[in-house]
Amino acid sequence: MWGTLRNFTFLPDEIWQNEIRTTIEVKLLTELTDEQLLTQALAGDEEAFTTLYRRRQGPIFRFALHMSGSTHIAEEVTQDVFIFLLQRGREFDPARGVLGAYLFGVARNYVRRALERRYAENGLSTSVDEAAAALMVESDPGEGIARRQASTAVWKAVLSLPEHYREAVVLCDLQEQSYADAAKAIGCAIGTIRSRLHRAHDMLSKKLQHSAAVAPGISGLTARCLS
Amino acid sequence: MTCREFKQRVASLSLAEMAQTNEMQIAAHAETCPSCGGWLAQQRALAASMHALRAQTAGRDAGPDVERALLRVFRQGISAGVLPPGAAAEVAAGGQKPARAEVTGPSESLGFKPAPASTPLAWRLSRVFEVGAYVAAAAAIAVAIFLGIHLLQRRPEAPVQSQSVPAEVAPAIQQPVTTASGSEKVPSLRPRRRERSTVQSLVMATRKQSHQQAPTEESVGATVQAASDESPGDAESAYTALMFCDPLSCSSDAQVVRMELPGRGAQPQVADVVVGYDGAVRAVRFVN
Repeated sequence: MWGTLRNFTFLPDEIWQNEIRTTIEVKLLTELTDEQLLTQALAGDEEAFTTLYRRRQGPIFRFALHMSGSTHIAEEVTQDVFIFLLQRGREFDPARGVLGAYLFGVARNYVRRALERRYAENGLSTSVDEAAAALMVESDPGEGIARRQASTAVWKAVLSLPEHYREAVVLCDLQEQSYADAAKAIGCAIGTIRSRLHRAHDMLSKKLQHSAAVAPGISGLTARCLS
Repeated sequence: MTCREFKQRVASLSLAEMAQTNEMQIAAHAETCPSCGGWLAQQRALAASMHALRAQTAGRDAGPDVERALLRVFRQGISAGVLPPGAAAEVAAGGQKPARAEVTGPSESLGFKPAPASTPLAWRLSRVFEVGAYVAAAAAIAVAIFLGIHLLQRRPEAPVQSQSVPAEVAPAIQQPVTTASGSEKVPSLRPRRRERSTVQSLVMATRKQSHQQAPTEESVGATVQAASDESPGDAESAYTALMFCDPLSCSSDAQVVRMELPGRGAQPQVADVVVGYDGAVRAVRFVN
């Protein structure tokens, strides 16, 4: 393919060789596992670190966003998690779990600290308000109002859960982590995750029913629009 | 399928699996049992809402500022050989994030030191409840201290047959008086009852004396007569004043404390000590 393309361009050979080498390196880096990328990053490979960051920052950011309801906290947590990885990534032991679960565990602790700090400053209601505002402002304008309202109601209900229930819901239902990975990230047994999820789902159903009773039509619209 | 079997079967499914399951037994039971059917419908609606929320936030990422800041930290760490310990603070100072303390540790399950996750109950209930809890705790501590002090103050009076020496008598005890015969006498005071305690000290409260005993020179110089149930041998010894006392400086009552002092040989020396409530020893007498 490169030879064919080479015939139609007038670039010097050196530039072509560099281009090909870069493409191959990027391709190789994307095929590496997280643990291999971490090893290379800690050895000073910036490309490996960038690849690892781009691969993992989304789930970490969304985990923090779902847990806190705040974009600012989510960005802060994401940054802190990767700085922690650079500083103490050598302590990671692949035999004890995958890097993704490890990063969720780090993010969980940073989110807790950020929430403690924010609750001490602003109180509990801020997170719910921020979440609602974030969804209403940043979602697609073409999206249905009922759908946005339903998502906001669910997110508010999730944010109002106690923290240990909330992190189980966010990891398993919103981040689609397996029960085993969620258990490793939280540091508990799989059975504990199951029971927390079961209890959290019941609580969420009741909260959504209550909010539907307060604002009738949302729940029905949700069911109709999303089923 | 019973309701219990239904719950057990459904509990093994995740929320997404529950929403999509077409298992015949589950569907059949949900149709026949209104409560289980309603519960399953609720869970399916919840799964749909979760799916919508997940889809709505699926494209959310950390901004490019975060990546730039992290790459700056990475390059600093590389140029320094190792990453500096205060890298987080440096990035915070350079970027838009506020400075924060360095956090240590991910999940304990992965074998690292976890960050302390102190989550007080009051914190969850909001700041109002938190302040209320602190106030309640402070009030409880204050009440406990007050009750403790009150009990300590009342404790010596209750169990012991106490005799307190009136303030008017105390100086009379302690001031040596020269009698007409020229010999110096000191007032003596007899405890009403004496008991030995296991801690080698026995608080013998003195009996309150009547104020009618006017502190005349004769009566002050004489021993203060005690109750009739005292042992006759005790009357032989008298108290020796150890300090000067007048009604102004020794206005409070006093107590007699029996003490065992190291004596000559194996036999200890037993002494009665008159101690004021200020802690100062007024007088002493040796029993044996």
